[in-house]
Amino acid sequence: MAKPPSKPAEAPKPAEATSKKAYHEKVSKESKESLMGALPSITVGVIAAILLWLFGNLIFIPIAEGIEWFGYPLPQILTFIILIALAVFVLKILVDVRKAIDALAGLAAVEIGAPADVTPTEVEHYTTAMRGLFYIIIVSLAFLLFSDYLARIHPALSGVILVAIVVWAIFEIWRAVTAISSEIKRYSTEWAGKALK
Amino acid sequence: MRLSIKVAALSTILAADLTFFLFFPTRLPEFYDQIFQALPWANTLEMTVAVILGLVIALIVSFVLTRIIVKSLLKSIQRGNENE
Repeated sequence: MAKPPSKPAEAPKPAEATSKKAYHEKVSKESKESLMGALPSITVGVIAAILLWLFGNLIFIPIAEGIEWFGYPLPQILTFIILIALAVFVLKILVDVRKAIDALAGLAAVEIGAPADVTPTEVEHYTTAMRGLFYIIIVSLAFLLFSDYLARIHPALSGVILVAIVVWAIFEIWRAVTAISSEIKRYSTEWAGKALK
Repeated sequence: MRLSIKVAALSTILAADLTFFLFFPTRLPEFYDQIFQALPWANTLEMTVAVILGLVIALIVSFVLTRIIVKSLLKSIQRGNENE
């Protein structure tokens, strides 16, 4: 039986083009709103964490040296309190950073990727890559805040956590590279298709 | 309460807290010791409670101060954008 003649490549239908444009506008608008909401919160969290570190390291721990409370050294009690407060701030910052990164990824997909032709998969790939990279930066900075206090509780604690962070960072980099490489693969397939026409 | 009064009050509390724990123990240690000796409880207990309270006050006040300043900054930016 003879095959029907293959149809020539059709131009996108008007309804499809409208829905793509609507999705593009939706992603762009939501990303901008989300970014504007998350940035002030991140700023407050970062400033509060840095101030807490400064107050603890430069003022309160030095004056607590030599004081014991029911046999427990006060610097270690203070270190524990500061660690808990820092952990709360860092978690808050991470939640806000997650929102900001999702928004940034949306903006990147819309502005850098393929204007007016954005798919949810593309946004997801950008989100995975950006999340991975930003998380590594933030966790490394947070570790710098924590390391002194962890070493005061037990010298090995800081090292163990650093090893865990390095292993996790390698995994995150691998995920980010996979996400970006699939985007590159998609683009190169499109370009190759156009070049061969 | 007006924003400037809030910021001034919180800044004064923070400055007083930090001055007490930063300035007195280093520059006037006799005065610092006298304060704790004048109180009726054991010096170790007083110092422990004072240092922990000082840290908690500095932490809360600096957080609230930062939050107020960033929020007002954001409001003024939004107002500026609306006027444009």
